[in-house]
Amino acid sequence: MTVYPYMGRDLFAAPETYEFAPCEPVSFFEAWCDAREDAVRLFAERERATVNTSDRAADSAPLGARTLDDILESLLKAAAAGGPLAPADKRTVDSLLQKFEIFRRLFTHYDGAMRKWDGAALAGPDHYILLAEVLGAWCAKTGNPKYLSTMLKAVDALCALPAESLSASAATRLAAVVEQERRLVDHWVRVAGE
Amino acid sequence: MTASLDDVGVILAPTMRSRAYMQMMEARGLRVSQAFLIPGADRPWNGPAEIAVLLPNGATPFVLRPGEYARETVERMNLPARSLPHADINHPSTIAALERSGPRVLVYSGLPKVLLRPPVLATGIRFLHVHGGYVPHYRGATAFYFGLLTEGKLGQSAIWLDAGVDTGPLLMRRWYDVTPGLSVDQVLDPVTRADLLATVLRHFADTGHFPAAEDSAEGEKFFIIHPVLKHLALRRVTRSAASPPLRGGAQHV
Repeated sequence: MTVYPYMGRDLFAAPETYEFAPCEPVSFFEAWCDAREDAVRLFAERERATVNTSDRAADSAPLGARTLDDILESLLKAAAAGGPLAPADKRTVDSLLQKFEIFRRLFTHYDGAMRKWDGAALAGPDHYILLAEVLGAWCAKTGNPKYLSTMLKAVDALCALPAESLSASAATRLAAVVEQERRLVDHWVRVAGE
Repeated sequence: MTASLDDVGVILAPTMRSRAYMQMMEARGLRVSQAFLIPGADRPWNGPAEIAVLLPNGATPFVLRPGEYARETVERMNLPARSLPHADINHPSTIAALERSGPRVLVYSGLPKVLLRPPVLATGIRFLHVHGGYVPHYRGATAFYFGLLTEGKLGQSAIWLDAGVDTGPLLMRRWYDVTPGLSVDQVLDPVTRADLLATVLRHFADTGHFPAAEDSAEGEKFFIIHPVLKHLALRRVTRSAASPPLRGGAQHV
């Protein structure tokens, strides 16, 4: 039985490079499906087991800085809006995508040029869930699989976290992200001729 | 007919791509003036000794010998060869060695994921690279897999290297059909890059100048493809009637 290889360890602390990843057998794809379904089951248990968990307080921004929450929320709105995407929004989402791809971590605050704000803290699971939502929305809007590729990596890292590191609401949101990810992957499954 | 490319050399790493480059040049009668060998160990090949690949406009298939190291082809062609002191193209000792050499154009088949920095670019040597991806639409790492996923074909582009990620001037690009049953990583990608390189070098040999192509699109930069999408890209071009269906396919909707 093939085991999906990107589980069981902290992929934020020790990023996976995905270089020359062996992935050809059908069993690899099946293992990915199973791993995601297992993760959603764990999230559901987390929801049931957790009572009165409060959401993380929104970050506040010092003068001249933007919070990552604010940046991601605006990117989500941009993707949800009708009409073409603004070039500035594309630059911003591509900048975050690149930071995540290279460093596998984001920070809570950035300046206007998307440089890390001095003194910013490391982003947490809620931020990465929001990032995955943004990437999914941008993939759906543009059809560009590069957003889905990075979304898959973000979801790999999130699903590999211990369930107790997620609040109940985060577990609910992550389960929805996994469903959205599956719908986006299914598009490419059909393109592949299935 | 053999063409001597007096002002063109080649930088070779111990990779399958370098093996394909040298074997293709030999097969197409293209003789560069010098080979520079990047230090490192060649990985042995455990597959078939010869693999035939049908290429566009090829009357007969190109036969790759995957187990033949690039330096062995260089020796058989009796090309002048020298080992570079360092694997890093940007290392001062490498730059000094290249500056002392004759060729003003070097085919770059060095180690992957390396960007040329200002000192090596300032030597005046032009570095000819074949990028795996149809630029500018598919720039960056594993871009050809994204092309495979979206277009169902393998895109390759010959470019002059600059300081950016696959942003240098474009010489020529081409989409290649994929032959089912052949490894994309180990065979098709290196061989199709080699084919495009040989086409560019033949153009230079015949006309005295390198080709140039234009595309003003802003393009897209990619990062290493996630294995799930790589799986689907490969499945798109290699799936046969006997392949078991995937979850999420039409029959599951």
